[in-house]
Amino acid sequence: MWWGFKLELKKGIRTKKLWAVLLIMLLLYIPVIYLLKQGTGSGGEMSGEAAMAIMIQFITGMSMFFLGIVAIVMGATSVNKEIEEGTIRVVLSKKISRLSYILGKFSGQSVVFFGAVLLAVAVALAGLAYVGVDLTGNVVSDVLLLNLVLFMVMVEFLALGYILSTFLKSSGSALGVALVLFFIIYLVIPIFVQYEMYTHAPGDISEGGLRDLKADYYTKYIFYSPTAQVEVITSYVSDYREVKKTVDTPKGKVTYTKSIPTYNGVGHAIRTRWVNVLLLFLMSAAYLALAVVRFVRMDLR
Amino acid sequence: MAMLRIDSLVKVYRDVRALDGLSLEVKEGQIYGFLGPNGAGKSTAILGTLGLIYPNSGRISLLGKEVFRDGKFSEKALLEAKSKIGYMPEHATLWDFLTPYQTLDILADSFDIPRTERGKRIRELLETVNLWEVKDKKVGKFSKGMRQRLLLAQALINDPELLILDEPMSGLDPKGIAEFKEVIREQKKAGKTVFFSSHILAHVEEVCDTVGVIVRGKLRLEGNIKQIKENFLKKAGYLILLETNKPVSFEGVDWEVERVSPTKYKIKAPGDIREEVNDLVWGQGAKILQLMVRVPSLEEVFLSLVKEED
Repeated sequence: MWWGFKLELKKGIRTKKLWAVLLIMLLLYIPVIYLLKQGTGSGGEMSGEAAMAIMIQFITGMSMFFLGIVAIVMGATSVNKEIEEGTIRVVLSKKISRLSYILGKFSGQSVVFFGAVLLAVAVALAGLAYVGVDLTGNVVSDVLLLNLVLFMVMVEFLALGYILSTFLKSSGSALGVALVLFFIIYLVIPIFVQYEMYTHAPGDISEGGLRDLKADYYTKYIFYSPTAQVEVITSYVSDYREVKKTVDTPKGKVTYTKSIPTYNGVGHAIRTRWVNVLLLFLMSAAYLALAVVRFVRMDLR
Repeated sequence: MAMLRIDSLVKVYRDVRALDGLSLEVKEGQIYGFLGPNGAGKSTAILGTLGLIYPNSGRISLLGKEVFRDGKFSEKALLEAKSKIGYMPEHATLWDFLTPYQTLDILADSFDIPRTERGKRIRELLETVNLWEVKDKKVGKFSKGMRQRLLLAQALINDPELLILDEPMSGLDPKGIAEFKEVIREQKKAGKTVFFSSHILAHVEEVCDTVGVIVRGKLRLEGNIKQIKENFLKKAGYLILLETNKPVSFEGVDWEVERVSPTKYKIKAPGDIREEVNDLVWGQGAKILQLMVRVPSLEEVFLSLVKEED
C-alpha cells in the first residue's frame, strides 16, 4: 500500500493535480475575502462570526460544485486510464498486490486533496486576518472544520469515481458518465426531494422547522450524496431564534414572527448533524469497498 | 525445474474463447519463443500467467510453485513468484512526468532493493538499453523505440529469474531489434529463462531454443525452429522452382509438377529433391538455368494451421 501511495503522491504533485485543486479553492476564497474587505471598508468592523457566516454561505456551494467535479473525474479515470496506458500491468507485474495498490492509490489521491485543503485553510486564515478579523481559536477551528468537511466531500466523490473507473473500461466513457452522475446527484435529485418536501410541509412552518424538515429528507432520501449531506451540516452553523414583531399598517397593527439566525459555528453544526458526518464516512467507505471488490477481480486488459 | 507451466488454461471473454485448454512448459535456462498470429491468445496467456486477468479454469505454476488453480490465484504464491519475474507488456507507456532514472527508481522500490545497490543497478540497466545519456529527460518526450527500451529495462530491474516479454520487438527499428536480441542472449548466458511472444518468425528464429505455436488459444506445435519447419515441410511439402534450357519430361516420378512455361516448372515434393531433379534434367541432356527451393514462412505455417482447424 505504501508503494502505491508514494507513487500517487508523486503523481499528484508532479502532474499538478494538487495545484489544480488549490487553484480552484483560491479562486473561490479570494473573491469572498474581497467582498469581506469591501464590507469592512465602509467603516464597520466585522466580527469573526459574521465573516465565517458569509464565508460559509458563499464558499460551500461553489466549492462543492467545482471540487466535486474534480474529485469524481479524477476517480472515474484513475483505474481505466492506467489500463488503457498499460502502466497498471507494469506495476502489478511487480511484487505488489491489487488490494494494496488500489488502497495506496486512493490514499495518495486523498492526501493530495488534503494538502490542497490545508493550503486553502492557510489562505482563508490569511485572508480573514487581512480584512481585520481577529483570528480567535473559534475562527481558526471553524475554517479548519469547514475545509475538512469539504475534504470529505472530495473523498466521497473520489470513491464514487473509482466505482465508475472499475466498471467502465473506457476512460472517456467514464468521464462522461461521471459528469452526468454528478449533475444528477448535485442538482436533479435534490430538486425532486425538495419538491416532495414542500408538498408535505405544513403551511405555517417556521424557517427553523423547514431546515429540520429538509435535513430529514436529505438524510433519508439522498444519503448517498455528499453535497446534500454538507448542505445539511452547514445549514446548522446558525440556529434560529424566533422573535415576534409588530408593525403598523393602514389596516392596523400586524404581528408576525421573524427568524433571526444566531451563528454557533461549524463545530456546533457537526455535533448537531453528526448523522450526516457519519454518512459521509460510511458512504465513502461503501463506495470504496465496492470499487475495491470489483478491482481485485477484474481483468486488467 | 519448470519455470513456467500452464495446464489446460481456459479463458473466455463473453463469447470468445481466447484460451482453449492451453498447455505448455518452459524449463529453466530456456529461451522460449511463443509464436502465433494476432489474436491467437498470446497476450491473454501472458496476462493470465501474471494474474493480470482471471482465467476461467486450468492451472499455472511459476518457478515451481502453483499460483493458479480452480479459478483462483494464490495471492501469496503469486507475489512470491513475481519477486523473481520481469515482465515487459505490449502497448504500455510509463509515467510521462518521470525521467527514466526516476521510473526505475520507483519500480526498484517495489522490490525493496536497497538504496545503495539501486543506483548502480539503474545505471547498469540504462547503459544496457542505451538510455543513460537521457536519464534526466522526461519519458513524455521519448520516441516509441526509447519507451520500448525503458520497458525492457524496468523488466530487468529485479534481476529476474524468469523474463516474460510480450511482443517486445514491435515498433523497434532493425538496430533496436539487434540490441534487443543481444540483451536476450546475455540473459541466456547468465542462465536466466526467457519467455517471449511474437508474431514474426524472424524475431524468434535467431535467439530461441524452443518455439511454441499458438493458434486460436491452443498450442499447435512445439519444438525447436528447425524441427517445426521440418514437421511443417513434411506436411506441406517443398516447393521447387526449376528453369531449364529446353523442355524436360517428368514421366515416372511421383512429384506434383506444374508446367508454368515450356521450360519453367513448379514441383511440389514431400522432401528436398533438388539432387533428384538435377539428375533427371542432366539425364535428359538439358541444362538447369535456375533451381530454387522455397521454404514456407511462419505466416504460411500459421495459415495452414488455421486452415486445418477449419
